[in-house]
Amino acid sequence: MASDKFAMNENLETMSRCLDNSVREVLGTMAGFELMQIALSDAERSSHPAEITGAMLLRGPRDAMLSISTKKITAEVIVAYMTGLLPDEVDTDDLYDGVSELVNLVAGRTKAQLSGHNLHFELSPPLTIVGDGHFIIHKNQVAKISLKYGSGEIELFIEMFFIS
Amino acid sequence: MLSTKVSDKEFGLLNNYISKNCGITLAEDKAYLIESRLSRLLIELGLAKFEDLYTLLSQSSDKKLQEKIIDAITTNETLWFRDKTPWEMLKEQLLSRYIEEFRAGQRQKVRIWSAAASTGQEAYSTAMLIDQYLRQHMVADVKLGDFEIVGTDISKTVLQIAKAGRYDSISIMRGLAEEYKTEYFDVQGRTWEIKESLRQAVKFIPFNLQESFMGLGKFDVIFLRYVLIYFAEDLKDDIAQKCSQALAADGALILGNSEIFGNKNGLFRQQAFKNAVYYQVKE
Amino acid sequence: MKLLSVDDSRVVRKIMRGAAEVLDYELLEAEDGIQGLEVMAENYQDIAVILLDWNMPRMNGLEFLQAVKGNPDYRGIPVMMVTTETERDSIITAIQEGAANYMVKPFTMEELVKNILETLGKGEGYGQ
Repeated sequence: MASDKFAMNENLETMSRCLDNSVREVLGTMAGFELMQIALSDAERSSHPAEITGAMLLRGPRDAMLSISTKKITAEVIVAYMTGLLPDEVDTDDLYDGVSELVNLVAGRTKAQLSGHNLHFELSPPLTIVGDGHFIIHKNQVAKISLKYGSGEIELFIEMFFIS
Repeated sequence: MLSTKVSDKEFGLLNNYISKNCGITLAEDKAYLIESRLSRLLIELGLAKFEDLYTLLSQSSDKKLQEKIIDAITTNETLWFRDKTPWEMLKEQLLSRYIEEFRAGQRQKVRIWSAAASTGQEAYSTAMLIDQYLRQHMVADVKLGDFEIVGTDISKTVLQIAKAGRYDSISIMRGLAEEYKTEYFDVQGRTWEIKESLRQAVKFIPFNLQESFMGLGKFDVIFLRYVLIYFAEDLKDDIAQKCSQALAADGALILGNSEIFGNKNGLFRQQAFKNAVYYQVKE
Repeated sequence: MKLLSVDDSRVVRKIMRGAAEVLDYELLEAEDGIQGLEVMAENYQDIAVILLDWNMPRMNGLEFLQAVKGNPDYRGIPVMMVTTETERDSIITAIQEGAANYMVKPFTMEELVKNILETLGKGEGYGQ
């Protein structure tokens, strides 16, 4: 169990790095945003209400859920930059699909990088969770990677909850 | 670390080829992207396996193939007016000096080179900035045509896109201020087409930075931005040497704001402009 | 002439539309392979390139590619995969099934337009 926990910690660092690379690369490439990682407060680390979340399951040596959470207005801006629309041209369907595609891209990139470290995952289809002030709790959470990004008015919370 | 699907030997073959013949260093954290980028080449060469491609490359010194590899594995991303300071430098320092020199009969032309021009945003940004400056300062005796703006790239495909001067609204959103959009583009649906007068002001030609710069002449400004990052040290040194010979005595070599050039064998003097640096050739 | 984007993401299809218009092509869209084949049946003579996602419901990209390459009316139309899949096995499988090009998401608009041109055979290919 001790060696398993050690491997988990080591893998968490690798996963965190790959996730960080992926987030910045996807947002940089698809939306033109240069995101910086920002320190999370303890309160934010434990929960952070959001208005829209994109999520995907990763099945592999550990099972995990990857989520990207933010305010609706932030998501609208990101989707606008991804598609070349003005933010007020982004309709609800575009928004929900855009957030779903964003998590798909981040998960895909993360999966590809982790594969190079011999950590292989399969991905579920992406999903979007919508609702003011929602947050995600995992009863059986084993470990968690929490990252926060900002650029001007943009704030994103990225989490990977390990559930096995 | 490369995917375990590719053996160390294969990656070694590819890395050696690319380093030796293309002068490119493969960033390990991007290695997993290489094969998708080489897929088209695999198809064009009629090969069924990447192993066969790597073997072929290790035995080949075909120039065209090398250029194709460089084109395939280096990413294309350009922005309008990327980093603020080079454009501020042009506006606040260089253009007024050039106009004085034109008026004093000390020069006939200003030559500006956008090396690694990709789809043309940097070169067209230069043209827009100059044109706007001349009009805003009501300069009638110096024209945009007195500035020769040359954009080069190893990829003829991206140059085709640059010459067409047509951009999607996604590309347009990246760095282009409203004043430039309205003044210099015609819009149809999602497509923004650069006006003919600007298109005419820029020349795009294919060019491999590994070649001699002799035929290009001397430049007053060289934009060499976010391209050296791909190259191995000895190719960087070679390009630095060639730039020092291609730069006019009081010309400016401008790299990306986050790039470090160092002293480059005593060839250049580092100068500051606001929070950025540029380089001038040492006497 | 037209391009066909087969992708379950409407946002991705919007991005494809931008590239198509820059190149002066009309874009046809389908959400999955089944819809893609319906669109093909009506429009195949006008389709210059198919831009194909891999992971889609009902009929995925590989199945669609096999269907296209198995149809004598469609098989000459070049197909470019546009996917998050980077594994060599996936790339080789797609090539073996007849894909003409393979582009990984995420991508810049420049990469997309360049790759479409090359798939159309209008870019500067090796040996051209």
